[in-house]
Amino acid sequence: MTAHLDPERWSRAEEVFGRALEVPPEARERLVTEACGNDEELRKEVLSLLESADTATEYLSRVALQAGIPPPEQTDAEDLVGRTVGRYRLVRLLGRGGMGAVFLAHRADHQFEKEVALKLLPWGVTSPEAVKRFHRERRILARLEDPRVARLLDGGVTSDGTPYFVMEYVEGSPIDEYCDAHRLSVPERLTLFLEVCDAVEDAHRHFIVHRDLKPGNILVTGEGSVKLLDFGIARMLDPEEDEAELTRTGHAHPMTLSYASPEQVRGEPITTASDVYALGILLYRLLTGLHPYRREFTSPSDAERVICEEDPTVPSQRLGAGTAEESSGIAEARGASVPKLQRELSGDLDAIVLTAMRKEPSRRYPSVHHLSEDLRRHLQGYPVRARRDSAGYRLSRFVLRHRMGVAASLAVVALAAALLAVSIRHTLTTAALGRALSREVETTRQVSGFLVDLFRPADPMEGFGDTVRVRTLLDQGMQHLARDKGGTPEVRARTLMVMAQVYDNLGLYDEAVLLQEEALRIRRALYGDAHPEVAETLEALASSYDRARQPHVALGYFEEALATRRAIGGAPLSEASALQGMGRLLRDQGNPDSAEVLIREALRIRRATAGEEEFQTVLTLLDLAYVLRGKGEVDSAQVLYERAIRGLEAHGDSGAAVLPAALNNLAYLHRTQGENAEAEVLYRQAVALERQWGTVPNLLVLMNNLAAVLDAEDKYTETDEVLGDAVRVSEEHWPDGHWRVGSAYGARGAFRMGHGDLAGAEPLLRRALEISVEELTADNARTAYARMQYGMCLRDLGRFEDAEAQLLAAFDWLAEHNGVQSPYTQPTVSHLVALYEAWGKPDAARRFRDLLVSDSTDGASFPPPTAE
Amino acid sequence: MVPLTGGGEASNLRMMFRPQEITGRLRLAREGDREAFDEVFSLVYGELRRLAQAQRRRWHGDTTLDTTSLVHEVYLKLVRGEGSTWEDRSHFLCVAAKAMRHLLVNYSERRRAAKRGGGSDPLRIDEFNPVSEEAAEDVVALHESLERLEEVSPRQVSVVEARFFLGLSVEEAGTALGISPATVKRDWAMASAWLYRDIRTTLL
Repeated sequence: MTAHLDPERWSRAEEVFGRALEVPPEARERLVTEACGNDEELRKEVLSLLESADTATEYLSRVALQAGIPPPEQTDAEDLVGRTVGRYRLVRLLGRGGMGAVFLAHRADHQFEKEVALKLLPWGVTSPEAVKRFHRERRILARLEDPRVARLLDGGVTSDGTPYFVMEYVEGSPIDEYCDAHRLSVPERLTLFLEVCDAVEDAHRHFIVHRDLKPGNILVTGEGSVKLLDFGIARMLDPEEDEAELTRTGHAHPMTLSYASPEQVRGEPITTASDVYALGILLYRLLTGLHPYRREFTSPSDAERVICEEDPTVPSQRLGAGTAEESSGIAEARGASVPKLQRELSGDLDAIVLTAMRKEPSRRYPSVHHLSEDLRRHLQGYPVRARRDSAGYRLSRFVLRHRMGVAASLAVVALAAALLAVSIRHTLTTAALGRALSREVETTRQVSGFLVDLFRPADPMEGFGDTVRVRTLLDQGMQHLARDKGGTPEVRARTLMVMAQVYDNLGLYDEAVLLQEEALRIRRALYGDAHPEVAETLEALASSYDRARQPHVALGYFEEALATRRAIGGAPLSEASALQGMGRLLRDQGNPDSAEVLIREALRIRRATAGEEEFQTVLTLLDLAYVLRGKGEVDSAQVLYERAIRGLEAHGDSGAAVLPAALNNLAYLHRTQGENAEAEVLYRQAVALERQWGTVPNLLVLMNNLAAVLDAEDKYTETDEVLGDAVRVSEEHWPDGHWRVGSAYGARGAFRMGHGDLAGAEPLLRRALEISVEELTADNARTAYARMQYGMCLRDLGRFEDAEAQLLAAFDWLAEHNGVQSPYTQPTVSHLVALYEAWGKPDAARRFRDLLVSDSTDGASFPPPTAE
Repeated sequence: MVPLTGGGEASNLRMMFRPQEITGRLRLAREGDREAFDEVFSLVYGELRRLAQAQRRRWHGDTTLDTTSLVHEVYLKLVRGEGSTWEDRSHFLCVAAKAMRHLLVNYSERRRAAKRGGGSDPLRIDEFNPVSEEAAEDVVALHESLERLEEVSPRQVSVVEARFFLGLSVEEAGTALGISPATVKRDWAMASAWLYRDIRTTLL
């Protein structure tokens, strides 16, 4: 063949070939013969090429498919009009997209004049199994008979391996366009949306998940009824289908990214919850006219990041994102003004939409039915379920973001949140108004811009699927900041402070302090010693050192801060926080008398300047109550606690955040007085509040405290219930097998064992140990502890051999890491002694008894931890 | 899920250029600077390969590479930025098509080596390879035929690369190559016919 490759002859062949393509197939041979004259070789070559052109394209398509890439588009969809597919003739192209081209078609055999929609999928089905599966799914889908769902009429695979579906042809417009064109009000939109929900719910009852719900697939006909199209990618949720079958998708990813759920983009199993999510986005769109995320996705991995990690904007707030003109246009299409529409959306509808759209499938509405139920409740004026825990949910999500590995974009979000917190605090303490405030806003804006820049160029690979811990990101930012002297010194100092705040939140105090000291240096150079920002930096340093358990250093910085505040003069209020911080430190240092003096001074200042009811004043009351309780002045402390609690109740959300801690401290005070009934009431209130607004880790501490007081009241059943509730709470919050879940199991097991319910304790302690081994590995103190607990239980159940294995394993680990005489190891030693005595092995018992430091050690009782 | 970690390869590449410099290299390459072309090519190739693995992990359960979004992603990462133009994008696509061709040939050769057993660069079990055993021979044969075609019609080779390896539509390929859709259609028809015949002769 290579003999033919002569550039000159090639271009002649090319010319003839091109001309031949322009005439109908039957006229080609004549044209070529005429064009080639007496060049017989050329004539043969061009005709041979023309002859193999069609086969060649088919061949290349097959190779592409087998090589794992999409086959080249053979022809424009337009060119297919007039062709016959199966028994259908393609009449007109209706549309095309990632899922293939849709044609208006007629039965070619003229048996029916009925118009149908025929969808040609863009890829081929090559293996016999794939064809079989395709037909099986077609049959499943045909079972779905619902007037709101476009019927699947037929389907097959063409001879060249292209699958097609034939569906009822529906004339209508996409639901979002329909709503806008008819200027449907919010309640009217909801009513229409409920029809969609009912249709999806019906499909779910047939174990069919739509998987690709979007306005383009939900049409509203001229009569105003809803029709759902395109169950082409729906798949059976039949329990008999194996897992692998369920998670496998076809070629390419057919879903529409704008409506895809986190589990869909991650390639995880898709369930009815994925449709709930897509319905949430659809509802979002119908209500606000906008997509929940503020920007277009730039790439699939960007989409994945946003979908899996970014919190959507609250619907009622999303409206303000565009220009005033856009917003009023959106409101107008809903027959409302912008403020009216925002009022209509905020509250119930915000909560309902966001509940449907939660990232974790298990936290969404459990079914489409629950979603529509809640919407109906809203329409009828009943309280909706979605609002019960959304604030707490948001809080816990925020905390999770700080604790666990999150991707780049989120770290920036976290930083922005910290930035906001810093500036709010700053604004509050300086009460800056007017120009000062606008300067603040400007710096804040610059800092957040600077932060974003700081992290973006740090690693352009990021955000392309690589999960990065906040820590890594911060460290990169820090290095960057150290190298690159970007930004003005003011912005730089503020940035350092914000990053320090994040490190501080993460418990990385060394880094926090490092950044704060650099900020201090910059600010002193900028403003001199006597400046509010210098004082602010000193206070932050003091707080970080305090949390880093370096009280003496912290105290030094508080003193410096106080001196700075006094040198500046001005408002005495500015001195209060340093005084209060020093007071707290001295209290923890075992110097309650000095602590009381300082906190009383802070309280006096706050009362005089900000008033009795002011939030910080109330917090200072709490500090004072805490000091007095420590000094044994219980009655005064109780009065202060009660006053502070009433004060907090008047402070809405910020009060609610502190209230559980205050209730907990007052409850503790009652416990120390033996007033368990009072303590129980307060703990219960604290638990209820924390459950609603707070974080799960705090909630678990409170539940354990409640359990301890119930136990002290000999309320066995109630204690066990609370501990069981704690297990459920941790299981809902952390993934299966998380060590916190194991701890909750362990606590309940230990309680049951302590009350002689060995049979009830055994499975719980076993589960706690299993989780610990899986999550933390066998080489871990928690695992050793779980082994000891489980070993005790087995011993008391008389399963001596099993007990021995666990207790010895615990002993080995503890002895190796802490030494035999350590108070951590001794309880296990005494349990081993008790085991061998019960087992009738006096020699072994003696061997371990010799290791005991004293006989008084008894590790049997491990009351739930109590925190004040 | 095991967190993905950036490979050493990728971070070395990253250190080599910044986006503006890549644009500069692309322009040099378009003007015929062979060294610049090689630099850009190896960069794009490395990125495609890395992202193909990542895409595989993200969209698992799917054995078809989404070449279009893959290339788009590489483009966003390497080229898009201040001062890059439509021509830069077109030229990038031509380089990317060649890189995708070599990536698939590489996968095919690994597949063949694995089949033969041993070989200098055997396939790791966990490594993603979209090329099936049946296709490996065809892809390598196609590559070799394209090398022969290159001698008489580089433009047709570019059309095949854009249409076959990148999956560009007729219009997209025309824009990327700066030729009319009619020319793309004609080139595609003739080149694929010739390639098909040539491959059949080789493989028989």
